[in-house]
Amino acid sequence: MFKNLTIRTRLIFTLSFLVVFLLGVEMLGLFGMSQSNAGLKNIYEDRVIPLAQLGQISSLLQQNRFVVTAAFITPTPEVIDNNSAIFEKNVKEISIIWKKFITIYLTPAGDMLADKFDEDRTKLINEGLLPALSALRASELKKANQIVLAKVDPLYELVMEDISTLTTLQIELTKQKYESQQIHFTIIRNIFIALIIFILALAVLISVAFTRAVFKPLEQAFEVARGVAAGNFSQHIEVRSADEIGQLMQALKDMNIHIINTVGKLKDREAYIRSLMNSLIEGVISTNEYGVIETFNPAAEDIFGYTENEAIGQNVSFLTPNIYPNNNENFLKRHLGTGVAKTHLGVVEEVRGLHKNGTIFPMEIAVGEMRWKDHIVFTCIVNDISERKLEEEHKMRLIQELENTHEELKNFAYVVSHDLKAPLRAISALASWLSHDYSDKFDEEGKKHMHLLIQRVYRMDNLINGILQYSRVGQVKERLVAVNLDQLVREVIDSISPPSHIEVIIENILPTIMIEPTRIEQVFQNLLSNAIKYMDKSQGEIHIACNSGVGCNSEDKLWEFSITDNGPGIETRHFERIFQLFQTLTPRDKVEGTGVGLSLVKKIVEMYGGKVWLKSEIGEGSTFFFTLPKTYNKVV
Amino acid sequence: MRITNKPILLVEDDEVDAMTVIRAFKDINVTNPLIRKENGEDALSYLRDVHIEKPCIILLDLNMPIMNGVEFLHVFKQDELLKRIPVVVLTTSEEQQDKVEIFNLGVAGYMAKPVDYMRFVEVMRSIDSYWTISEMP
Repeated sequence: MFKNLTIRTRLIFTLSFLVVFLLGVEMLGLFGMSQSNAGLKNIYEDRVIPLAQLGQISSLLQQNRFVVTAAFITPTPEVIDNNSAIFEKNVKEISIIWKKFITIYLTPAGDMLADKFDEDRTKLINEGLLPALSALRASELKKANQIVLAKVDPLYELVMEDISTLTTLQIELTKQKYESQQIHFTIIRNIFIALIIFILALAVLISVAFTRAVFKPLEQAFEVARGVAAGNFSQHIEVRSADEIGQLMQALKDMNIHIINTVGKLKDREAYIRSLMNSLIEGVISTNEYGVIETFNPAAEDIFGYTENEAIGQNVSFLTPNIYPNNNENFLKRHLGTGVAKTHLGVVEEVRGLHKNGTIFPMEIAVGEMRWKDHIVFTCIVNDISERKLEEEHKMRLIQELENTHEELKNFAYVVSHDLKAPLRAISALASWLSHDYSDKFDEEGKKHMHLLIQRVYRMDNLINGILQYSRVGQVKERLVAVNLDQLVREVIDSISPPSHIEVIIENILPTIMIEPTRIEQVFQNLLSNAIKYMDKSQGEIHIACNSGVGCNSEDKLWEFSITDNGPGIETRHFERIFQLFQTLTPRDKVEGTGVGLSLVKKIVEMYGGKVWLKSEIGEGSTFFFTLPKTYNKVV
Repeated sequence: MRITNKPILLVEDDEVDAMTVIRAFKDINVTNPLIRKENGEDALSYLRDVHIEKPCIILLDLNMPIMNGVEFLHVFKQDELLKRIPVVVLTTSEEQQDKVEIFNLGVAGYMAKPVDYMRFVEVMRSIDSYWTISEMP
């Protein structure tokens, strides 16, 4: 019951109790004090005053005897009268005092003594002193002397004895009273001492109780809190009461549970991140601002050969070789040691790493900086790029070889154009001069041979030009410009100037496309000149079209063009051959052709990501199609 | 050239090509003396000779041993005394890059040597008539 009250209530209760108790003690003390006071007053009034009264009576009696004795010595009437007056006055006074005296409480023995004294006193006055005084007044000195001797002296002795006994009794009583009073005081004192001891004991008890009720649980709570702070979440927290401490414990318990939950979540999260890190194929190393390794994931273990335990706590520089004292070796130090060279942060760099077995290998590293509270944490993502490096080197070698080959080819083309052509030209010139200068010396056969010689030279020149054109495609890049094909095709037709029996028709308006003008011109030029060159009909018709149904629709990705002739047609089995370099289907003596044109067309169209193909029927004619992507820029 | 009778400098290593030029000039009645040098270096040392009369035009081949036409032009165009003499390049190359490079060097003309002699004569005739009409410094 008491346990279920709050500490505040308990404290108020205890303090109230203490106040009431102390008030009671105070009252008791006050009561005892007033009691003692009354007792003292009693002693004074009942004993001290009567003692004084007895003394007074005794002295008055003595005075009366003296007054009587004095009257004997000088028995003049004045003296006798005077002394009589004193005597009477004293007797009255004695009576008054006595009356006061006997009002006090006396013991039965005292009462008897008082009665005896009163009797003896009355006798002394009435039988002794008064007759003695009357005798003196009558001047009967002798009688008076006899009275004194017979009555006054013995009676006086008796009275004095009585009074002394009374006084002794009174003193005895006073002493008794005083002692009883003292006992009373002692009792009160003892009660106080007992109370003080009781209060002290109570204080101790309350302290103990408080200690048990408040401080012990508080200490427990403190221990629990300290345990929680130290990370001990498994301790049993018992809520023993419903008071503040109990509430505190409950709060601690809740906090503990909450912390356990949070820590559990954090641990889950950490485990998740850790497994994430472990599953990374890149090495992850994190260090503090001095370069001391704090994290070292399995991939980093694989890369460097050290285990996590070996690496953690080491300075990160032990993972880099000492071969570049001013450069790479300090790569990590540059960031991790000094924090300088921030420009490299986040940039992937290639440096050399040092494996545990001493081998130096190329690695790729990206260093990130992160602020963690007051600290700087550097994270390094590391990749062993040995294989990639080898591959790259291999690739580089291949590229180099390719470039060399390419360069050779270019040189070859140059050599062809200059060095092959020069003698050809010389042959041509010399042959020309021969046939001109010596025309009268040649017979018909010789002239025919000269003609053939010159013709072959021209063919050779065409072939060389064809090779050069073909090899230039893709090598010499022109700028892409918007080319109005409609206009360009008309110009091409003009430049070919088809013979009168062949009609070239542009079926629809050709689009404007982004392309190298020379190349697209070569395409149309070759296709058209082929169609014209091989035309075998008396009424030749060539149709050029942008096939709107297929490729000229603005939503399509390709332009599709077609050039249709009504010439001899091509057998299907030749469809592939005709696009090969130097392949012709007719003897060159019949139709002059190099076999370069269609391969050039194919090369150009395919360079732009397009396709070229044909449909043909023998005797009816052929249609050459080619496509060009509308977004050539993106393709490149 | 009909106006002046200054010499014409032909820088050409090929014997037949040189013959072609000479013959072509003869065919079109150009009477200027023709001086032939076989490479750029010879041509430069000739041009820098103070005793000779400077040519009115230089016909330059590109593909030559020792110092080719392009190297010759690089030196020639730096020379304050020579650089205003018009240079017509006569070459086999129809490479776009060659043309661009040559025109960047400030030549007066670029002619491809045709295989056909008669067409070559026509080219020569054009050069002659152009430089006959054209004002010279």
